[in-house]
Amino acid sequence: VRIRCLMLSLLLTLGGFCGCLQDKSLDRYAYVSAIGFDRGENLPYKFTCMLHRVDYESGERRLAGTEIITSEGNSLFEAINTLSASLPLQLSFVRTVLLVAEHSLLYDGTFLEQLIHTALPSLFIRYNANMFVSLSSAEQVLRGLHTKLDPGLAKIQENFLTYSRDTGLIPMANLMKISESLTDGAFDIVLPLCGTASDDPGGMQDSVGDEPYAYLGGNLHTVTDMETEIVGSAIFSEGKLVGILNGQNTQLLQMAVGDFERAYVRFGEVDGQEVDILLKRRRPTKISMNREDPPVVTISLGISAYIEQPDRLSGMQPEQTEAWVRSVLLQRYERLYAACRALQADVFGIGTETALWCRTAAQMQQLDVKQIYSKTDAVFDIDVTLLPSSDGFSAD
Amino acid sequence: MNLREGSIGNREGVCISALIAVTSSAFLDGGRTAYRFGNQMWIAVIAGAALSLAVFLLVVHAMERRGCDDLYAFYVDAFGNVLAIPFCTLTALLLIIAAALPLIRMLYTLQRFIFVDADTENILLYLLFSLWILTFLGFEPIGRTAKLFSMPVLFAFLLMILLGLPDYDRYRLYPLPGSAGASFLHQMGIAVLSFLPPLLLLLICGHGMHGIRTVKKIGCIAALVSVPLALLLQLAIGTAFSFLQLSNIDIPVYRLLLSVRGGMLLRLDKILLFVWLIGMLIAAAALIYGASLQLCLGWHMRDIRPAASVGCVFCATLVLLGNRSVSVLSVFYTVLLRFSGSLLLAAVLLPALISFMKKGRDLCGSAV
Repeated sequence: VRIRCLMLSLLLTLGGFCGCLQDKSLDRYAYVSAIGFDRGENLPYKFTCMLHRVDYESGERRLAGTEIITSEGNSLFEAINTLSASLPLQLSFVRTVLLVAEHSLLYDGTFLEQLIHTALPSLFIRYNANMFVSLSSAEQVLRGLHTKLDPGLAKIQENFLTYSRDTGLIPMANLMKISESLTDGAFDIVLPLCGTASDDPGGMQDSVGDEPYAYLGGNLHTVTDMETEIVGSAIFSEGKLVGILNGQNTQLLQMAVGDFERAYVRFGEVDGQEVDILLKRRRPTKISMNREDPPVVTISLGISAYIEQPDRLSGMQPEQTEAWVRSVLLQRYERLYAACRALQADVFGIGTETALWCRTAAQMQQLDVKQIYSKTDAVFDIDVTLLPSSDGFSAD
Repeated sequence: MNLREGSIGNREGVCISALIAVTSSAFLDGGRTAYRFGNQMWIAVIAGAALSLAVFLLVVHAMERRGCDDLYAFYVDAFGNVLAIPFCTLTALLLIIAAALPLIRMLYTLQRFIFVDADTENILLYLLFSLWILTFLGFEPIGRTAKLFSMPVLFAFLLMILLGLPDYDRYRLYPLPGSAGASFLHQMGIAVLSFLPPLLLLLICGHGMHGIRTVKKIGCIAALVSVPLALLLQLAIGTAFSFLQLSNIDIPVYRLLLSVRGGMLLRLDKILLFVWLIGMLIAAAALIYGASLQLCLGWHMRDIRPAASVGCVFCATLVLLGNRSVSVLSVFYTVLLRFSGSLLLAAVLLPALISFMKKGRDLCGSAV
């Protein structure tokens, strides 16, 4: 019986892992790792696909660089069909990890709706693929991702996740989250912003404003091999792009919604001298909302802070410094909340709190989240603890 | 007699039963319409499991009282030799349906996400072959294979639950269950179809598990193992997807795996899916074996192999038809999904009631 069981186990395992049921081998496909969406010159849309070149000749199958191809069409399907006419391989989207849409496509909400509800299910794109909004053309952004280091797009995607967690300068949103936002309307999405340094970054300004050096994709004073810069966020209301936040405001937003581990924040000048602070999440963010009229949402943050230049605040006691950090953060949060509420972008998750009020599915579907949001005031309860050293602030 | 029952230990029994319950509850859901009034599946799982366990214990008590060692003897004791035949046949049919329904979802997942260019018939051939071998070998090899694979399969489910942790949010569970009774009952019926067949299988194979007392112990332990995991799975799905999203998702458990954050998990979904597939094949083989044994005992067949082969082919046919998008079939399968559990409940509750009405004790053997 043991030998039978062993043989049976092997058979089951082999049967489960066998790959080919028909004569279609892996090298028949061209794997699309990223897709860019722009306005076309002749037709409504221009699609850019970044293809993985796979070296099938070597003993170990490995990536052999990338290739960019473009096509114009009235829809994604038309573009794919016309692309296929001039490709020796069949396009496959099962390895797509990144989608980049140029900002001008996103103002009326139809593009995102079509993409999520029509194109994704048919193309088998994975729902954990990330989407970015581009201030410059999506094609340039994809071309700008190419570096001499050539780590592969999956590695770049992984790096974005780490970057988001360690700096708070970009939010991360996958297609699942976008799909949920469009289906439920319980919250509005915030997508990471990107651009290339080599061109005009779309002429868009931060929706909160008042930042002398706004961190925005395509606007940074950096010189690297990778031309594409990813920083800041695009905020949406009911699937329509309504504004953008620079990296500094994105950090605040990330802290408020709990998608934050640590960040290095420029706090501005004190007596003419720059003060920078390292912030780290001390406890998970709590969001609660009462049902009074007007409703009030309380966002409670617990953070540890380390002053990078303590000598510049030497006149202050630790308690005074904590109070100062708290007051600066409060002031910034009030400004950010007011800007987002004016844009009707529920990026703080007010809608998810109102969902807890509903007893039936019908009640939930009839709930006018935007109307409640427009009346809701926010109270930010910020608990700052000053730390004497930067120990524990580094990435794990 | 070539019924290939053999005898298995407590661990094997628990593994078979837990594998069936967990794989079924992960892949069986009421489909898109089930979430119209909110997601009640997570609470329906507890209710369905509790009801199944209560009925199981009641039947075990009745069997102990009458001195019956397996379900066939119990049917004969309750209805007599002739009437026991339709009840045996009905139980066998329902067990094969319980094996086929989760496999329909699995086959759909394999065709939709893995073997995109392959026909369902081609994929099914592989599954049928594995099913046939396992069922043909008998209860003891199934038990030992289940023991080998139960830990990897259960761990694969647990891993998926853990991977989704950053994406869970409690607001998605709202509206909380309570407002739509009929919908809740339907979902509870589906949960019964996940938890009652593995317990019934233990009753059918009572001889192979050293009597009804051992069966009772194994059933209770299996429920203790499988119910928390099934509940965690449903809570994971419920906190990852709102009820509106679930209304647009075909296989929530696999979609959850596709949605977890991070590009580094690009191939993990396929590995976990194939581990689940192995678990599901073992579970289906066990149920088909149980159905075949019940048929053989009912119809006094001396060799289980023809019945087992028919059971496998019947199950595969159900799976294949279930994947066809014909509206008549779709209605038929919805009826099967919703009411098979209730029928199975009736099929064991009725003899239990009759048995309790009989005054004598330990007369089961003499009745047979």
